[in-house]
Amino acid sequence: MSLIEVRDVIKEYDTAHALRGVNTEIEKGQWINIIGPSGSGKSTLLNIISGLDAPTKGDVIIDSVNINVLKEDDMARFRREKMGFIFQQSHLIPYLSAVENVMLAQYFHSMADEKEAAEALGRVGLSHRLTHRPSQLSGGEQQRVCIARALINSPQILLADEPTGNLDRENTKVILELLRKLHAEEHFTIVLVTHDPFVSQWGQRILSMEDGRIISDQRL
Amino acid sequence: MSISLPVRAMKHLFNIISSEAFLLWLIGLWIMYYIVSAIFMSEAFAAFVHYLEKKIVFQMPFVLFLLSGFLNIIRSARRRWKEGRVLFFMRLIMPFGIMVFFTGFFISVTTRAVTQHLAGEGDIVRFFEAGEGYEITGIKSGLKDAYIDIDAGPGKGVFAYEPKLTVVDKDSNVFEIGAFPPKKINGTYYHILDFGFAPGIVLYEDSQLKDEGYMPLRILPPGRSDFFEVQPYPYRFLISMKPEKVVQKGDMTGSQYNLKNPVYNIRVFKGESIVSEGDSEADMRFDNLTIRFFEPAYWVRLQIVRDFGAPVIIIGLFMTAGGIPFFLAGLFLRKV
Amino acid sequence: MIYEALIIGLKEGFKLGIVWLVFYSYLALNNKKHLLKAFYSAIVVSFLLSAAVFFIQHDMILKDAISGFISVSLAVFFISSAAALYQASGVNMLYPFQGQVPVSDESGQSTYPLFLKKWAESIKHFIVFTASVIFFAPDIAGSIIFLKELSVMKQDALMTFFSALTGYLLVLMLFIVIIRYFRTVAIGGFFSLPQILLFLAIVKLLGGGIKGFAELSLMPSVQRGFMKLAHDFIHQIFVFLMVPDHPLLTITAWNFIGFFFGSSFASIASLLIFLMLPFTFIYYSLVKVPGASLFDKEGISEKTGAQKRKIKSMLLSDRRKKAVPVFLFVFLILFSWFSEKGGDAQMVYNPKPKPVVVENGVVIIPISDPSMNLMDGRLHKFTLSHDGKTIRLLIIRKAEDALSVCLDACEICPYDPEGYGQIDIDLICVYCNTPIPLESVGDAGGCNPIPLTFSVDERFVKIDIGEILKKFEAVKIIEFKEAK
Repeated sequence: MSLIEVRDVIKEYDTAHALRGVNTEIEKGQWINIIGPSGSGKSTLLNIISGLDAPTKGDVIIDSVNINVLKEDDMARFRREKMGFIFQQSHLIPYLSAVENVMLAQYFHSMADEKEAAEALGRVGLSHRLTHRPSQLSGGEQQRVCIARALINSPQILLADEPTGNLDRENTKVILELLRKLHAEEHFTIVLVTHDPFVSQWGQRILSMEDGRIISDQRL
Repeated sequence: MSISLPVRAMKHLFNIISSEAFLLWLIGLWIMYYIVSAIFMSEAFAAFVHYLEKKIVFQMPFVLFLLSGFLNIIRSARRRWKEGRVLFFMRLIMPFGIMVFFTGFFISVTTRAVTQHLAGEGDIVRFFEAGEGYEITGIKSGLKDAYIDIDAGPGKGVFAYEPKLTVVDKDSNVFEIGAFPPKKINGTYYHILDFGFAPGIVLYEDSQLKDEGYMPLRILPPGRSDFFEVQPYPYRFLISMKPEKVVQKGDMTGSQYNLKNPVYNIRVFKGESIVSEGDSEADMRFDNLTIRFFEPAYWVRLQIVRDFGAPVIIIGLFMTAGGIPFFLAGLFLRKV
Repeated sequence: MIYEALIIGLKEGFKLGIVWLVFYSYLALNNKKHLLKAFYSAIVVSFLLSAAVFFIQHDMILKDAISGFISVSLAVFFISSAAALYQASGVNMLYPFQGQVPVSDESGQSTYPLFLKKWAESIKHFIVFTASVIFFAPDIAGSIIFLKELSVMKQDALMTFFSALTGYLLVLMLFIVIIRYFRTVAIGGFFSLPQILLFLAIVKLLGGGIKGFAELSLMPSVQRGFMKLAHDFIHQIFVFLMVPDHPLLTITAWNFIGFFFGSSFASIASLLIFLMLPFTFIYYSLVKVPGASLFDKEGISEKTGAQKRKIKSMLLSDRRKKAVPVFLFVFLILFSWFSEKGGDAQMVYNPKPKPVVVENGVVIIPISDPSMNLMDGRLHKFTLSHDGKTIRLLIIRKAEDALSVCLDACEICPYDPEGYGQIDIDLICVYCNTPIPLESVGDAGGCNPIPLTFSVDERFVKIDIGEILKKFEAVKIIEFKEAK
């Protein structure tokens, strides 16, 4: 059974069509990469799946819930409990330590638990960097903190928008290895947006987009 | 390996008695008992102490309470031992002190023996009939020379220091006994419970000496009045101390009394009527009698107590009071 | 409309209404509304039981018994709320009664002894019913006795009871509207069993006075009881430590002893004891992070970290929500503790004299009015001014239907400002601490209060002013501290 269903989604901005009728289904536990040149609508699709943006027409159904009809508060709660996010920029709070950044995510979800947060950082290989500020961490390390933060509330879906966009090839590889390991352990669904062909080879499925349409759907 | 039934039953009983719930039930039941008895009976606490002294129905639950309290402390102490040694001792002192106090309470209530003597100089006092006798050789009053009746509320501030009394036993050992703390002689506590004047009195009938002696009265603190009778005469003498000086300042009145050699106000009743009134500075004459007052002696009410619980109570109180800060500190230092 | 009766009706109606509201919301929120049947039938039974009081020729004993029961039921709710609180905080209070159940109950669910399990529903109904009867019956009976006395005084029984009923129904209707048309279910979220029991205790404490509106709350008697206990306990320790009671010690020693013996120490100590329950609750609900056992009940040990945290945070926020009424109760207790005048630690009841006036040479004092009853066995004091003199009188019920009227002075002790107080039933001279047995009050001489000749009919005590002045002269003549 599919976890995410995207049905006839159209997104129009004032002047342009960002999505021109997208249909797809994503299965539970699947790692899907969405690729395409800039302006192809891949990020718009990700935002619509995450509920951060609403489609002009069409439905997004996640875990049998049509998220387009949810009220703002319910959507926020839904997102808090089901989804984790990684972005190109780390968006870490600069004056909090690594473990505190993770705890903050716990706090917004339910309540902070330092022990659990430290364990999560351990899983991404940062147990020696718990009390470091983001500025004291390398770009790759910052992104690993983001992964720990995204996964701390055991989301069903991990949404990643160009997660390795700022990293060199070596660090990119480390991050992707890590994601692969965690994905194998915890079986969450990954929806990853990238323009990098190297990154797109790591998942189980590649969705190519161009001009607001899906042009190919390829299983690896 | 199976354990035999009686052993299992004993173990279960032990588990119950050492459980927090059992202790709480005992305390709750006592509170309920006390409230009900306080509502329907006056002096409920005194009654409880009395029952605890006499009735096994009250003693048994109290012993269970002591047992359960100590077992609970041991049980929680075992847990705390694992948390850390310092914390262990900090958190233990107060609860242990409380239980020690109640143990002393119980011992005191059930075994305390008390005798009291109203005595003056030259009398012999003893603890029950069998006890060794002590002769009172002197009483030091400890009274101030003068007392002004405004400074401290009724009864306070009469004494410069406590009254003391000296006794001597048959081997000529001398002991000095005060009011507080009690003096321990041969495992028994002696202390002065009450103290007063015994004015010297001479009574003449038609200039003939009829009676002479000291009359123990309760006229301390000044302002209090007491009366006495001299058999076989039908008179009642109402007596109180007379102030030497009275100072009036606004609404306040200060009366100064001489406590070394007081002057008395005396009123003589025959039936309901007053036959004479005056003070003791001059002889007082009425009908064919004359009464004269001279320097007072002192009397004491000496209490003799044998109480094995008293030291336990004191230890318990000190542990409790001293343990409170440690207990509170322990609460905050505890690892969560 | 009889005002006093109306107020009683309003008060009793409010008590029922507020308890109903809270109980209703709690049950509605927790899907236990079927228990309301037990509650309603308990109200009916309480009324029937109390109605019996109306037909019994009542006397002091019955009245004392009922006021005693009101206090007992207050205690029952306070203590059971403490027990429920401990149960909720993880101490299995039923453990001593549970046969061979191991300490850590593996099923972890039921706290019922096994043989009672199949009766659980009936037991719940029975408990709700009994608790409601214990709560309401004494209060309603007390009010009915008061109304009956009021109706005798006002000589209009019909109007008295009609007024009370009007007040009662008015308030109840208000509550029916509230429960019917407002979303009151949310109130239930602030309560669980310990809070409900504590709430009942507080309602009784603040609205359980049986002398009608003259004594709205039970706080003064609770204060007296607590202070008496604190005082007796300290006294007992002093006896053990052989500290002399008499003023034998130097003023320095007295200042220390006086601190422990003084009424302010007793008052503070008793306040601490009294507030320990809510504070313990706050500690358990807010400060202390609950032990694993409490969470295990929710079956979360196999869940992921995030799910665990979610359940924990829900539990904790629930606990915090339920601490809100407790904070409110603490505030209420503190407020009423300091606003009510408590008895002092010596337990000497020394009421403030009520002013009376002389009319046509006679002092007339009603035997009963809503704020007092001369036949209640307590000491009553009155004061009158005549020719520049202030004269105090005391009246006390000496035996069944017999009053004793005296000057508040004896022939021996100084007159101002002491006089007599009451300890239990007997009088005591405030100045010299001589106890005057009640039987001897009215006899002349010595330390006894100076008796007055008086006449009494069904409603009033009448004393001739000439008699008062004559006897008061005696006080003046024998008054001792002329020097002062």
